[in-house]
Amino acid sequence: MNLFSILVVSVISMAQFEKLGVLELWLPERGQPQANDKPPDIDEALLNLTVIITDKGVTIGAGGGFQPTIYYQEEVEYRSRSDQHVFRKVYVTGEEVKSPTDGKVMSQYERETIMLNSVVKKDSADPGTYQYAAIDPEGNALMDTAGNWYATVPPSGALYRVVGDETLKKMDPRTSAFCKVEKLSAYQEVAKTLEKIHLLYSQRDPLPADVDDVVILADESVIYDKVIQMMDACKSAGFDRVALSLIGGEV
Amino acid sequence: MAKRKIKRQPEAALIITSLVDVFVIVLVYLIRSISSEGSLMTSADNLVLPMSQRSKSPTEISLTIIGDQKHITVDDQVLMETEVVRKQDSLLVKPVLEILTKKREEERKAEVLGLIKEATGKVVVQFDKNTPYDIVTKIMATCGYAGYNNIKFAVSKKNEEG
Repeated sequence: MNLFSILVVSVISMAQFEKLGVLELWLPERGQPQANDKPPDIDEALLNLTVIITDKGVTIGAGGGFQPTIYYQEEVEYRSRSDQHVFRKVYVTGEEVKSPTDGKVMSQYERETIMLNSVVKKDSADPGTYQYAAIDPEGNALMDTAGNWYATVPPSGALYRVVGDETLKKMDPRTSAFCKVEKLSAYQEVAKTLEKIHLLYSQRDPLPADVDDVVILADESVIYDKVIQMMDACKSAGFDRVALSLIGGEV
Repeated sequence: MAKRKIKRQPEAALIITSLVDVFVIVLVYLIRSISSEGSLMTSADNLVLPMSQRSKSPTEISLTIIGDQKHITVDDQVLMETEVVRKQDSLLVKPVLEILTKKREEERKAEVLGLIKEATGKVVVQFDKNTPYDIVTKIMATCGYAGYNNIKFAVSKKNEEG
């Protein structure tokens, strides 16, 4: 019976429960237009921040113009349904992906993880080079006090912070042992840029009415997961009111 | 004939102390793992929800729309194939709009009758993470048109352990 007790407890402790959550979407209120309605005055102070997702990169635009595009390379981890084989491949639009074990063509629903690796490019024709950064056990890229990514794991005692948390932390040997250098995610790069913009605009006097607002503009072929990850990046940068829109349409 | 004496075996008493111990441990563990918040919403079977770090705990839900690889389902009622939604040009999905309009009307009536506190127009949408954004926008537009302006996306919480 004692053995049984230990067995039951150990089996339960190994079990993983999936916790569900909800991401709130902000929908601007829209009234019924009246015949004698005048078009609203354009408020120059408004930020009108927009994050545009395309298949090559992410561009942040606002009332004053556009930030340089954050280019990425899409790497997909597939899990074959036929033999559960897992493999990674750089995603090329329109290219047929086959499982290396049985040659079966992979469907879009066999994509297990989609990684957007940040790439530094001079222009759109440049193939570019990957950006690397030290990543903590929670998957957050680490920044130094000047707001630059740590290219190596920070030594013990070094100060660091992550996007969405202004608190500077001191690296301890235990955390340092769990950190590793990986390809920097484009979501982290976008979140860092958005955080700077949010900080800049939240110091304005008077405060712009849309200081916490951002619109994500995506192409219809973009995968839902990318939109959700981008919503996460916006929220971590301090933009709590995230609206969605479609390139060439409105939602 | 000699009478055979039947020796009565002493009755084995069931020792339930260990069993009770096991159940107490299991009970405590499950109470700790499954919060009351998490049990209000359940994930659909045929889809993989996207992961999110910034999600909130689900509250009371009045309506759930599920878009998996094959079907669009509203409150456990399969309405149409996902592929049909992708192929259509219109932003409004007719079968979904019909049922949503009906449900929104029922919700408003229930508010008038005092059966519910407020007709909030809350809807939770569950989509497979590999769903094209095109399908998501069509369903969202349909929700908005039917009066469901409080849209929430169901996600899996990242870095959460049971």
